[in-house]
Amino acid sequence: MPVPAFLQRSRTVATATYDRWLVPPAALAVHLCIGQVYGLSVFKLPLTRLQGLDHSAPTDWSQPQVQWMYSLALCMLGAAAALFGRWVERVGPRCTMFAAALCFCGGLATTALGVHLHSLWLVYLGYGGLGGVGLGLGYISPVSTLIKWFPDRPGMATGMAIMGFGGGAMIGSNASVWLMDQFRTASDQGVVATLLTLAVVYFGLMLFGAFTVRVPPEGFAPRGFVATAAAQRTPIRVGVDRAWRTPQFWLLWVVLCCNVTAGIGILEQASPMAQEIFAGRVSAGAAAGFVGMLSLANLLGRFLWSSASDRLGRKMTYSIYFLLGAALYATLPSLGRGQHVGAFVLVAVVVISMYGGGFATIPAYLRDLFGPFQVGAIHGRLLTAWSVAALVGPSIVNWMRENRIRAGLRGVEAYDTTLYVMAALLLVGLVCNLLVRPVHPRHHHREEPT
Amino acid sequence: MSEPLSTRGEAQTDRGPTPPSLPAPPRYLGARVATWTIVLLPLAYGVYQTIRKALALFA
Repeated sequence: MPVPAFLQRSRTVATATYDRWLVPPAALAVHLCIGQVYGLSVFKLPLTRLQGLDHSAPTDWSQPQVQWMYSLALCMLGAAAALFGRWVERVGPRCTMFAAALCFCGGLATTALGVHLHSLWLVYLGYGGLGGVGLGLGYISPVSTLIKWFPDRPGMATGMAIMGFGGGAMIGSNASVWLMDQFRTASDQGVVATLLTLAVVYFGLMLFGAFTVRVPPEGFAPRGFVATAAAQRTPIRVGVDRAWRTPQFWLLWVVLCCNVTAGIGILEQASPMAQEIFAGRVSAGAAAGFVGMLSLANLLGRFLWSSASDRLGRKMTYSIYFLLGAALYATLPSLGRGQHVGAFVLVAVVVISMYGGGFATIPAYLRDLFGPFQVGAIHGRLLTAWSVAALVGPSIVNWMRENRIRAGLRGVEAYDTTLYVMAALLLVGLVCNLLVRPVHPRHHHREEPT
Repeated sequence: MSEPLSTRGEAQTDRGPTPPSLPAPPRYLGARVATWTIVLLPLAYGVYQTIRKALALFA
C-alpha cells in the first residue's frame, strides 16, 4: 500500500544539526498513550455494571468476560509487533506512529461504540483487535530510531521510551477515574464518554510524537563518539529473517519470557497477597497503595536499570536481575512468615524494578547482538515472549494459589510455592542469559550486488 | 585474528570516549523545553496521583 508523502521516511530525515534530544519525547509521547492498557482495570467494575448501574444485572458482562479485553490486547500486541516489524523498519517511525495512533484510538472509539450498543464482540474487536494492533505498532515504532540516534547510550534511550509504557498506566488509570466521575449520571456510568475523550486526547499526543520524530541522517554519530576498532572492522548487521533462526534469539526469548512471568507472579497477586499474608495488618486500601508503589518501581526500574546497562553491559545487568531477583523472591515467604511488612514491601519493590528493567534493556541487548540494522523488527518478534508470558504466567500463578487454598493452606503458605517457582524460573533465565554468545558472522547481512 | 565480540554493550560498540552531555544548538533549545514539557507534564500528573493515593492509603 503506498504511503502518503507526508508520512514517508524520506520526509523524516533530520538535518545534520538536528538536536537528538527531541527524539525521546516523541517516543515517550506514544508510549505514554499506549501504556493505558496497563490501567485498564479501572474500567472493570463499571463495565460489569452498565445496565444494573449500582450492581451487576443478570444481563451485564461478567469480570472474566471483561478481563478478556486485556488478554486479547496483549496477545495482539505481540502478534502485531512480530508481523509488522519488517514493515515498520521499511516505512520508518512517523508512518508507524501514525498507523499506531489510528489503530489504538480507533480501537478506543470502537470499544466505546461496543459499550454503547452493549456488544461484547465489538468491544473485543475494538480494544483487543484494533487497539492491540495499535499497541504492537506503537511499542516497536521508536526502538530502532532511538538506537540509531543514541549509539553511545542505547539502553538509556530505549529505557526512556519504554518507561513511558509504565507511566502510561498511571496516567490512563487516574485520568479515566477522573473522567468517569465527571461524566457519570444517574443512568450512565460515563464509560462511553470517557473512552471517546481518551481516544481524542491520545490521538493528539500520538500525532505530536509522529510529527516530532526524525530519523538520523546517513552516517550519523554523536559528537566525540568513536566506535571501537572491532565494531568498525566487523559491524554487526543481522536481518530479522536470520536473527530469529539463531540460538541467541531464542535464548533471549526465554530470558524475556522468564523475566515477565516472574514479574507477573507478584504484580497479578500483589493486592490479595499482601492482605492475606499480613491479615489484620494490611487493609484493602493499604494493599492498593502497595500496588501503586509497585507501579512506580516498575516505571523507575525501566529507566534506571536500562541506563545502568550501558555501563554494566547487558549480560551482567540481566545476570543481576536473575540472581538478585531469585534470591529476593526466595526470601519473600520468610519475610511473610516473620510478618516483616516493611521489608516485604521493599523486597517486592526491588523485584518489580528489575521486572521493568528487563523489558527496557532487551532492545539494547538485541542491538548488541544483531546490530541496529533491523533491531525494531527483531524486537517485535521477541515480544511474542511477552504475549506468551501474559497468558501463561497468570494462569500458572492462579492455578497454584487455588490448589494451595483448596488444600486448606492460608496466609503465606498459600503463596510460598508460587514464589519459589518464580525464583526457579529466574534461575532458568539466568542459565539462558549466561549461554548467550556473540552471533557468528555467517549470519551477518550482506548487500546484494547491484 | 579478529577481536572477540562481546555482548557487553560498551565493549562491542561502541564506546569511545563518550562526550559529556552535548549542548543543544541554541535554535533547538525552545523546542527541547517544549517537547519535554508536553510529555513530562502528564507523566508527572500520573506519578503524583499514584504517590498521593499510596501515601493516603498507608497513612
